[in-house]
Amino acid sequence: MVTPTSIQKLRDSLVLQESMSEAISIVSQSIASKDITVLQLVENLQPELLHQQAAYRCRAVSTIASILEQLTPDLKGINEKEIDLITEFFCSKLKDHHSIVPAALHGLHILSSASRLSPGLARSIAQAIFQDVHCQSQLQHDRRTIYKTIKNLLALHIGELQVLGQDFVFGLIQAADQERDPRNLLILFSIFPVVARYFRLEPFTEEFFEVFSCYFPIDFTPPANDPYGVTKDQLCEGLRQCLASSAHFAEYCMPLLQEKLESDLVSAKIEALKTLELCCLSYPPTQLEKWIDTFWKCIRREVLINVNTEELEHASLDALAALSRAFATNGEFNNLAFTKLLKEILSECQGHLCEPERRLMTPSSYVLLAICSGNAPACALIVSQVIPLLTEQCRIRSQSAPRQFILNCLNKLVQAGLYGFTEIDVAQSGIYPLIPALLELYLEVLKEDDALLRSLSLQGLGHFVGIGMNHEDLEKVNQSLLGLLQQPLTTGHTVEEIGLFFYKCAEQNESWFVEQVLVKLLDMAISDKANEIFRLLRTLPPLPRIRAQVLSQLMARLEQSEPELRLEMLKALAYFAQHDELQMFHQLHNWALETLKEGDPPVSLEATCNILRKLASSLSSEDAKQFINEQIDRYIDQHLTSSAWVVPIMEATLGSLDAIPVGQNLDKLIKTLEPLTVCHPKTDVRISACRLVAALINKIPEGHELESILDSLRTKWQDPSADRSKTVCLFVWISKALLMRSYSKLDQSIQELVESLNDPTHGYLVAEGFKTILCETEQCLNFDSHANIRLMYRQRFFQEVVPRLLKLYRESPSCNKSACFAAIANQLAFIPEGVLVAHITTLIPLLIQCLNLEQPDQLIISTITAFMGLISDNVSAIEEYISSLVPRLLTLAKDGLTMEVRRLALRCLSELRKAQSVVLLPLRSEVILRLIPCLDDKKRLVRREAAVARQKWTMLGQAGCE
Amino acid sequence: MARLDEVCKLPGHQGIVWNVGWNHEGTILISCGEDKTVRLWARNINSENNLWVCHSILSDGHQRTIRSVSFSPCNKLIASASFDGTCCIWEKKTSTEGNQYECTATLEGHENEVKCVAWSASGSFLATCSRDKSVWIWEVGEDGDFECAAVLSAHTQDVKKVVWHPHQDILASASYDNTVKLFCEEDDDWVCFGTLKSHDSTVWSLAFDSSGKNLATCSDDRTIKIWKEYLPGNQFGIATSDNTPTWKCVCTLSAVHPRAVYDISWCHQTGLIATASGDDAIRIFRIDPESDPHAPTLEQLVTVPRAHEQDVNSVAWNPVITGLLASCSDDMHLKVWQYKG
Amino acid sequence: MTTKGIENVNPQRFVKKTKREVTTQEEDESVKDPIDEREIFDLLRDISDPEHPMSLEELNVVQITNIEVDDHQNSVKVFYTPTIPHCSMATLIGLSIKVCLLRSLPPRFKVEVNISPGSHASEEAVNKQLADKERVSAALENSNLLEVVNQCIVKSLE
Repeated sequence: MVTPTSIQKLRDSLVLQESMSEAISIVSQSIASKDITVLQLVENLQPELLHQQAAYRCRAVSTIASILEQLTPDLKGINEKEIDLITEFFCSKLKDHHSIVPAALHGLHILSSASRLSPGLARSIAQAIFQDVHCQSQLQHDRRTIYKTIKNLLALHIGELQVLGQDFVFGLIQAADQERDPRNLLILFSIFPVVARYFRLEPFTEEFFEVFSCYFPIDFTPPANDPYGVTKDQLCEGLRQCLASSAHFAEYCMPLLQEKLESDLVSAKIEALKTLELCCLSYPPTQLEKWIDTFWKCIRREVLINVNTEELEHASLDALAALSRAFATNGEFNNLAFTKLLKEILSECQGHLCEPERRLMTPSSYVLLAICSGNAPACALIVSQVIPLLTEQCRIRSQSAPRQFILNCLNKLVQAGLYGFTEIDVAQSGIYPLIPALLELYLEVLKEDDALLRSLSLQGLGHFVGIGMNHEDLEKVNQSLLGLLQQPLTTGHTVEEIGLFFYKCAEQNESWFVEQVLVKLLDMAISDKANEIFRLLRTLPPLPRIRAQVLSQLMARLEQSEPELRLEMLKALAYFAQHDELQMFHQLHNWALETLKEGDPPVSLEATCNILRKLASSLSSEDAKQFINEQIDRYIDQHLTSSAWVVPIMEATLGSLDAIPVGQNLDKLIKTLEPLTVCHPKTDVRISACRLVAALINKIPEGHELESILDSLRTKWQDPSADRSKTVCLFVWISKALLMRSYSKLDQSIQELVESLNDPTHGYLVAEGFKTILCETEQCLNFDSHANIRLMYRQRFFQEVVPRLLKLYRESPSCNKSACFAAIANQLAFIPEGVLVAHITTLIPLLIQCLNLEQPDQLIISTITAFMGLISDNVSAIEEYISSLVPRLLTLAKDGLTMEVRRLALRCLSELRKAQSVVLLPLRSEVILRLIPCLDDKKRLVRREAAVARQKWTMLGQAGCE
Repeated sequence: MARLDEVCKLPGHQGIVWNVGWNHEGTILISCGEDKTVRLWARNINSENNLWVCHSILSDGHQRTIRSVSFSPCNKLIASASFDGTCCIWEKKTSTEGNQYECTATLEGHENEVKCVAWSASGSFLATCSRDKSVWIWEVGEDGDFECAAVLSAHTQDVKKVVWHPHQDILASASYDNTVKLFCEEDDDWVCFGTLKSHDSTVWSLAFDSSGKNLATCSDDRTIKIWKEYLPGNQFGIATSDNTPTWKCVCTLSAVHPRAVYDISWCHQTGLIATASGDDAIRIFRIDPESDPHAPTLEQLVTVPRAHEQDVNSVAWNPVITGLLASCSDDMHLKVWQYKG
Repeated sequence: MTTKGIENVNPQRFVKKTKREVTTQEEDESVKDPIDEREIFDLLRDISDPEHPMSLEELNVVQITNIEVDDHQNSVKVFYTPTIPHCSMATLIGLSIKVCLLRSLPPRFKVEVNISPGSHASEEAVNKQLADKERVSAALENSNLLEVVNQCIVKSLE
């Protein structure tokens, strides 16, 4: 027989003990392409497979397994018969020398994942493993191979394994017994529930149960640096599934859970409760009923007697709910044990509910709600008994606090009674007959003066909207609410609550709401409660009819209203205004122009501009173009001559449209705006003009037109005779516009910016401009206003600017240091951490220098803020600088001129506790000592920060704080 | 008008300074505190301003706060007592590099914080007391060994302070149980021969006058008291029992200290009494020479209201230089004062 | 934490006070804010009880009405009320209060921490211990005690 070359190569490297990976991949490819067969492979490896030394045999078996692995998952190129043979081959190798077993297991594991095993093979594999391998004497890795193999076989060939019956169960028990590795346990925990469900466990039920129950409750802390990431939660969850997997386990599991519930360990109790919750799903009521009293005793102790952590309380209540659900039947109580217990619980809790001044009222209500959830008959019983009781209690008590408790409780029960079930069950929940009395109570409370009680009553009423309340009732409630709104004392929070209630009504039945409520609300909007009403309008759902009603009413009234009221109206308009409101846009625009006059701007200008901006940005580009063509001349020739305050309106419209003026229009517009950007005496107008020009520059296509506009603007901002403090502003905005669109000659602008920092008087202003350049602006140059924005322009700016700044700082000793510091500090808040870290080593020493009393407060504040960001994101990056940072912070904390600086310095010192103790400990005594004067700062807010910082540093390295 | 002038303020300790004292020649000032160090201070010869400077720091002897420190009468040994439950003996070794102190013995035995250590006038005994309610008396061997001679469990609460009689082997102790007890050796056994009850709260400290016939005590009850010894068969009709002297409270000064009085020092040269108080003040008193010796009155000569920035913990008159007083405080400083009458 | 051995299993929970609102005076650099009762209360309210996962405020152990402050005379007195008259944790709670104040108040203050009169069986003994500066100092060098105290305080800093 001729040995194929690929196999010969494989043998060579096998004998020479070379790296096999290449040869293995060639052979496996040959098998896949059917150039050679597996049979040939095994035959050709006979000398090695039969070698006297086990090590050779082992390598050969392992090689075959590795080749097979390359062919998974469908064992490409291998026919059924060959699979039979190879399976038999690996099974037989399990009987060979113990060192060969792992390689054979590896082979069988690969085969177990193939779906094409002939009938009987899965059984053979399982039998061979159980008979020939003593699982627990294998290494952790090989045990895992065994478990994974069994898991595969169960997934694909469970029918065959079932034939093995108790032999399989016994084999598995033996293989899994004593397993201690968390990763292996996770696999086993996924196998056991399958076996429990699909295999007859008799006579090994108890043994099988013990194989996993011995781990309960899981006590496992992942080792530090655990590469596998097995968590305690995963193990707990897996084990829970095992314990609850079969009703046959009930007789062993229930005593186990009881024992843990009685223990002192909170974690054990929680596990037991969570397991019980799961068991309730799979164990039949007949198994549970024997234990229900016992479990109630435990749950009662945790909820009603002890004061516990929330986690334990929740687990207790969840378990109780599950128990209740397990006994749920259609309509009737047919389980005596549960019925008896329910009555007992009910009578105890009813007692507690009558004593709202004691602590037990709230937990009792939780207990009852837990039972209500999911068990309709129990819910009906509880609702029908407890609601009348609480209604009565609420009436007979006069103090606010207990009544708050009662109403709260009542609301929860109403919610349970109404929403706990599907609609059919609501009728059974027993709440319907109680509704009239409840409504009456809620309405009475609504009339009282106590705002807290009123708000609870509104919450309760809210549950009835759309369910359980007819139109008549609803009208009554709405009347009360409208009445309440008109009362002078109804403000703030109550208005919000009423708004919530209206929201629900409106959602439920829009047209009814518009007719019955909204019309009246709008009528009230001229009274002295108008502000509240407008605020309330802004909380309603923006449904079409509501919107139409509100918009038409408000637009009609806008002109006659008081200026202050107008602001509220405009806010309400802005809330309801949506896309493509072309008509509204024009109407509002005209109205806004009419309100303009010389002198101060109208108070409503800003609010109007906000809505105009929103509407303008949503116009189609055709509408936009038409608007531009019609409007430019009017703006410039009419409006601008009568009031400069038209500029903010122009900014709101022209700056946000999805089109820009072209040709003559553009030329005329820019020529008109240019002088305003640097000369206009009113700052708001001037800046608005700058922004509008910037917004246009941002959108004009690159080319001759843009260049000539920029040239012309440049003469403005570089004009030596102009007021530099004003030209800087224009320059900054234009730079921003160019940066955002990634203008091709950006480099020049950046260089000009950096050089401007050196200006001894205005450098600092330029540095402040860095903030403007990087920040998000509301008015223009954002996505909504169709600005031309390239991704990551901020990073690009930062990376361009920093080296130049450093160069300037290092090379010209006379440079304006404050401005350099500020230019860096002002960028930090906008730059992603990843980009920042790359520059950190060069920047930090500079930033630390900013932290001295001579620097302007704003600079100090932005620098500390930057440090705080670094500390919370990536403290390790600054650890080596902490020893120089801390003394500076201490100085600022004590002597900072403004309280904001002092507070921030102290907060930063507190935040530094996130760094490693080894770095901080050498500084501890100095910090503790130097913080003493800060404890006596004249400002309370500073003292508070000082107290926190000092306590944190005092505890550094002490017991109980690491 | 009498004055107490601040001579100098000595920083150095990193934490509360608990105790100050002098060597018997009055040339070295000694202090100890929360920073687990003992510091020795001497007058700077080069300075004209009477400045005192730290010339030695004894560290690494204790794990916790050093509460009390004391020079032996021979001036060669220093004993320090610490919250770590031990007492260290430091010995002066003269070498080429100057005088160095080395810890040559550690006295262990107390169950917890040792609060005070004191050498007897003869130098043959050392006394320590602790929160464990006991007072221990150690016999000083000729070869520098210390052997426990007695464990006295007369007090029912922490013992705060022990002080030896200036001439005899008599020990006085002050306690959280509000009493002072007196101990002496009787047939090789140390016994308690007197319990002084009158204070309403913890007795923080006490001091004998130069004769040893009068004792001053100070307390958390904000008073100071003078006690007088009456021998058996005295002519003043004061009853004694078992042939032992009786100590009677002959003077109580209240309503002067607004807070606890932590220490009291009775100058053996001038008879002046200094107090250290929780109200940050130092006060100087003397027994009014005109008053009846069996019912003396205390005359307040000086009050320095803000002598320190925080509680004053200890005061000590220099045994040689007249009117020189040392004090120490929670504010981490020592001060040296000069009294001018 | 074990439930066994907790003495006071059923304490009343009290409603928490809202955050102190910042006044315009407090934001005005030129005005000196005196240290007042509320400021002391705010330092102490979130200290947790060594046994319950609740704050001293929620348990009504510290109340603003039981705090006396004199900023000029440098005195602060806190009277605290243990949850039950036999609470064995009373000293520890008092120690936590005292330590918190010693660490966070200017040293010019004389801090007195006492049990509210009549609210504890060993009132006098506990008061005397807490007033003894030497014992307090020593307690803070005992790592077991320090650990409990720090754990009570550390939550108030978050």
